[in-house]
Amino acid sequence: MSTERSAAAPLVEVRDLVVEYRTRGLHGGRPVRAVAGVTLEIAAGEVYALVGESGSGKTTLARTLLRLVDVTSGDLAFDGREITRISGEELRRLRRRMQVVYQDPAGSLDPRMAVSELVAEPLRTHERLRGPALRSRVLELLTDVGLAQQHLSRRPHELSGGQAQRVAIARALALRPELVVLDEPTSALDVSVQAQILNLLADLRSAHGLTYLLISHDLGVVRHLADRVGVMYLGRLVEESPAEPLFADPGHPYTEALLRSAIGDAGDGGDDRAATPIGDIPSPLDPPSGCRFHPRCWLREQLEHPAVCASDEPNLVPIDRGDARRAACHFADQLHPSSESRRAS
Amino acid sequence: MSTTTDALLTIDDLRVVFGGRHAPRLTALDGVELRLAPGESLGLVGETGCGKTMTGLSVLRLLPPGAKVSTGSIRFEGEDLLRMPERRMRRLRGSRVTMIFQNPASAFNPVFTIGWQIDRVMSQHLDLDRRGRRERLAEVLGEVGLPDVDRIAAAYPHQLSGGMLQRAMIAMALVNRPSLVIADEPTTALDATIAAQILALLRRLQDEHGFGVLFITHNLPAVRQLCDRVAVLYAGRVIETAPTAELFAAAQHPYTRGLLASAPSVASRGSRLAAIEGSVPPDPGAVIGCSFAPRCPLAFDECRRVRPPAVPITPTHESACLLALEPDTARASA
Repeated sequence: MSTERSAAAPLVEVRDLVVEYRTRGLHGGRPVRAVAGVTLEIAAGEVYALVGESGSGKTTLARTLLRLVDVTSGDLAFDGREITRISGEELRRLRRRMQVVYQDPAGSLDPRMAVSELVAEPLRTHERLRGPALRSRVLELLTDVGLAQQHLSRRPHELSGGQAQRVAIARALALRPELVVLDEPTSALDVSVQAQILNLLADLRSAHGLTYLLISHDLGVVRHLADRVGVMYLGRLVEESPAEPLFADPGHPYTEALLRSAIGDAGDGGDDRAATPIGDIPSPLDPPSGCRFHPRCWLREQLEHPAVCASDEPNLVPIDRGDARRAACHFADQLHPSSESRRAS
Repeated sequence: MSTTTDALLTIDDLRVVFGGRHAPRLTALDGVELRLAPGESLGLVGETGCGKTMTGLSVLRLLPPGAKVSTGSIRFEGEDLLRMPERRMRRLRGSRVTMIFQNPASAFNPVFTIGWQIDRVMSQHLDLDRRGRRERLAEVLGEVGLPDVDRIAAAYPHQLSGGMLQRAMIAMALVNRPSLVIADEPTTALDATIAAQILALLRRLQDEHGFGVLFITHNLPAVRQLCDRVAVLYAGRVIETAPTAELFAAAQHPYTRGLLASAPSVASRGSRLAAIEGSVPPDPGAVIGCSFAPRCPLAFDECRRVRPPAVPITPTHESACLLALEPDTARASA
């Protein structure tokens, strides 16, 4: 991958990424393909959301990008530079530029450290700040995330869930990263506190020009925060689209099913069974042939089981319902009319 | 005490406290009032620590160690559950009143098969021989969408997926044909597409069999899909009850309104969410006046002195807010 890039180059590039885990024991070392060939780009300053259910590979993809999990094949680039195989000092420098906020703030903060130490730690290690300079930067960060002097001496168990998540965010921002991976940042919080944190994330993004990779199963959160959305299913990207058109007019039967399952959004939910997927999510150890969604696909059912769904894996290709929209479905063009008629009936 | 004969479940002024002699006293439920008609599904919603799970456990008399009912009554099918001898209570649990838990994997015993565990629940309560129980097991598994009876019955919990286990737990809850099912966050641990299937299943089974449901959740959209009526709990009290559609369209209590407004939606995109500032009081029993007043954008002096009673707004809609009492004069003085 070239090291010279124009200013408009994406901040993150993922090319044909495959990530396999080796299982032990019963499966005799058979590899699980958690990410099975994903290509995507994230522009600087953008909020890109990855959505999907258990086993979709969204978390593995993000962890691979953070270089916490090894790449099996494919390429990763950050700010125009190849990062797939870097190590040592180079990797250490990269890590300062990408940070992560996890779902469970209490679990991601060392219970023995006070808030002041938690926020100071990255500054001490990476920027070698000491004394008054360190103290004033810690205070500045805490103010940024809406905490005050009185919180400095508290330990994680003395904080509410929302306050602890604010501390985790302050830690993530301490080194002025360009990319922040938000892994289910509000899933452990009550809805009124979730709203506070989502507002904060939006403020910080505009104040610091951050790029977010948001991982979430909560479509309300995604719709609120994301500019673009990638929908994953069993290791594959099945749809990618700017956020608004995706929610208004999904381009893949799985996306439509996911939206319909986001209970309550469809009002009284009277007709939601039409697009509800059939049965359970198959194991990533043994993904279905052809299109991975085909055994659960309501559209395939409506089309009376075309053979191609079970035999050929569809590629993620542009679809003709708006710019920059891609979907991996052999019958993406059949989706709209059929869902119209379903809604009318 | 009211003994409305047509109610399935009536909870009056229920107070549950933690601690006492050796630990600081903490109020978990601060005078909960609830009515559930036969066959009705009532959503009990609120955030962490509001007392919704405690309410469900009180009905089954399964409060955790350290918690006890200090006053109040719980009447189920006309009988006072709090005065019932433990032997009778044990017969009631698992037959007339059953429970569906959030995490099916930990609700089943991992070392027994699903079939054995459901059979045991039947044999303790139903007067059926082995063959009769076998038939009932097949029937109930079919109803919850697990038609492959032999395989499911012979499976251990870890051999089933989360969605299948939740179906098996619903089968166990329904096998003795209860009149009340307490469902505590039954879909929270499940993926979205599976959760939608489970809610649709519960709604269908309830239509078919007419049992009452006390649906405990923090998920407002799920309530909208399943429940006829909603009770909103805040700091151990029911602060608003209304038919589901009415609550979503015309909530009166500032807390309910805040809860509805803080959920991200299509309309909220690109704008700020209406977060409720502050947090829940640590001990609701210690609050004089309205427990939401410290966080309420509309609170006035009176709110900090008087505990607002539940006021009817329409015949089916009540709100415990002084603004509901005299909307015009109260707002003028605010």
